[in-house]
Amino acid sequence: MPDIAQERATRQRGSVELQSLFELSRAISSSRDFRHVLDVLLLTPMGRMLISRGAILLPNGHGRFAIAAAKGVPHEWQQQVFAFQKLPRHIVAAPAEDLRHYAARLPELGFNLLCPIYFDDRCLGVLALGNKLDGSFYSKNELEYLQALANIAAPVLENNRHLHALEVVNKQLDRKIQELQTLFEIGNELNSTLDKKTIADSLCFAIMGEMMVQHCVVLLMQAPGEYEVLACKGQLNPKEVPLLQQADLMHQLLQLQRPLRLQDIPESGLRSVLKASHLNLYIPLMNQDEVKGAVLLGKRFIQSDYSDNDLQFLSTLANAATISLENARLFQEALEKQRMDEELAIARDIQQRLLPASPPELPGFDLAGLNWPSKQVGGDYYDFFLIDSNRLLLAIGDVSGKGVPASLLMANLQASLRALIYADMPLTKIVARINDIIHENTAIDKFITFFVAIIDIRNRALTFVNAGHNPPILIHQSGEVVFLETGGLLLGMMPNVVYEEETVPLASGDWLILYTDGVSEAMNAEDEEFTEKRILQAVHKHADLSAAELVEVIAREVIDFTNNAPQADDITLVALHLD
Amino acid sequence: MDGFEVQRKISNDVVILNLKGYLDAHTAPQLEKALQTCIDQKEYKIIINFENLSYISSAGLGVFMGFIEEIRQHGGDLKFSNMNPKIFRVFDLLGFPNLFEIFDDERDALNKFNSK
Repeated sequence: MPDIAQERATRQRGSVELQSLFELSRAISSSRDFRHVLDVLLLTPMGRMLISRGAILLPNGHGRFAIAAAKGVPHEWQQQVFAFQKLPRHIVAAPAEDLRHYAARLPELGFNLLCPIYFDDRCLGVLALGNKLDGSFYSKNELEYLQALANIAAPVLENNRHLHALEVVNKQLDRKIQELQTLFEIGNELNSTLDKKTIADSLCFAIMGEMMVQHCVVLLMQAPGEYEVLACKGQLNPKEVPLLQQADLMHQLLQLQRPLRLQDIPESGLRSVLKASHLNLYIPLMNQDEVKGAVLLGKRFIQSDYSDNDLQFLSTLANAATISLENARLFQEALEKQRMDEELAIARDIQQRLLPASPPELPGFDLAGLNWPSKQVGGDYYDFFLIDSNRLLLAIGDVSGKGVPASLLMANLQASLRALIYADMPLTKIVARINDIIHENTAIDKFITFFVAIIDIRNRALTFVNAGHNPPILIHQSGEVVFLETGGLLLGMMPNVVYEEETVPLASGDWLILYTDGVSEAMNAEDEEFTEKRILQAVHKHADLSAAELVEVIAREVIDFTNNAPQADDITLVALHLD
Repeated sequence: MDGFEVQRKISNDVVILNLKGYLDAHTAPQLEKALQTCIDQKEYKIIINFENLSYISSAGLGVFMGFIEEIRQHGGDLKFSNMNPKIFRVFDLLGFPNLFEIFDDERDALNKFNSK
């Protein structure tokens, strides 16, 4: 009964095949380990059909197939990648040589059968098998069995493909989240400080962590062609970075307005020095269309190069830092301005305190002084006081320069005058001594124009020395005008100057006007000066006013004359009227 | 905001820095200072214990990058230990396990140093 025996053998084989397929499907659907799944997929037919060589080829994402699992294949072959000229649609069993027109290197591995695994018309992999050990050809039955196996494997491979894609996307997403987190954190950190070094440090650390780089340099432009190294991380000494020693190449680099990798820079001195400095990436700190500074990075530790995405991320980070650095600069400027304003307020205060609070009360002498400081604080000074019961001192001066230095020099003058005036010395000697003191205490470009006079009250005589000051105007009631010019060089120019003095008589009805160049040289819109002529006219016109009223009227005329333009200089006036 | 603290201890010739709290751009300079102190004192075998660290940002990791070359040039190393999964995730994401040895326990890191 050969038929029956044959039929039973066929049925038995069928049942074994079914069982093996059942086990296979159970094994691969219960395993989460994809490698294990591939192993089962390979070992099942190899064991079942006594095949000594087999491999599963999976797409490697670059249009080729790589060996994902292999048995009985020489180890050195396992890294092989295959380029299929054409993919089999169905199982192909043929002599090894004939498989060459699918992929050139297949025969070298001794495969005789290719079983493609399709899902939805997409080839997900190829099961490649060698010869059966018994040397027989694959039977129709066996080919059907392999087809069934491929059908079972297809959804598993498809799932794995999705899983893998998902993992890649997930990883990218995680990376993006980390980048966002870094941006967010750095944004916060940058906004919480106005110290540029702290800003640069935060920027460095964030970049070094995110990009895995060891060297990070942050530069900030201070003026065209001038920059400051804000941070130099990774145990780098700025003095040992070749690039930072080459001003011309730095200048060239800081003209570049977009991020550049070393290889983006054409072969040049700049590229060579960047290379020698081990700096592989340049990110400009841009504000509007200006390069405000730069971040320079060394090479990445793992991935060899910076991707476009990295460049984008780094630029975003750099922009945030640029804004913070700009804010820090503006804040610093505001702070400096505030300090200067405070300094000016102090200077103004010093100046005001040095001026006499009120004129001495003297019968027959109407005396008044006025000082309207300019916004900038000049160095004007006037003084009057009784030296003794018969001698009245009058003084006016103008210190060169402005601000605190001028105020201090003026204090110096006031102190010297008040100390020396009581010494038993002629006025000329006193002025000479003050000149020496001022000369010793100041730089060559600082000087004082100074006029000092002593009035003998009983004899009504005025003795004066004029050290380069605008000549005071003495207007006799008769209408005669005298400019008090005698004296000598202005104070502080050179030591040992010899001064002259002159004495003029005073009479009832006389006006004496002392003033500074803030009055006589006040300028109107037509570039005309106020001049002594207008002072004289004012005195003539308002001769009936008190001294206090007159100085105020003149000062107002000066302001009117300049049409309320910002006052460049102090307005200082002293008027004396004899009854 | 949570603070950050570096505690330092020495086991033979290995310095162990225990990090505590919140390590971000704001607190990174503190860690930089602690590591700089090690370098200045020529201590090149360093273990960073993360057990009590509750958060780390890229800036925190950046600090390590700035020192690793110098440390290895002097025959030392920077080894990490006791990371919780959250901390490890950040290290992993940025690729740090490729460059640094990470141990489950400080003792393992110490043994690795001593076995050399």
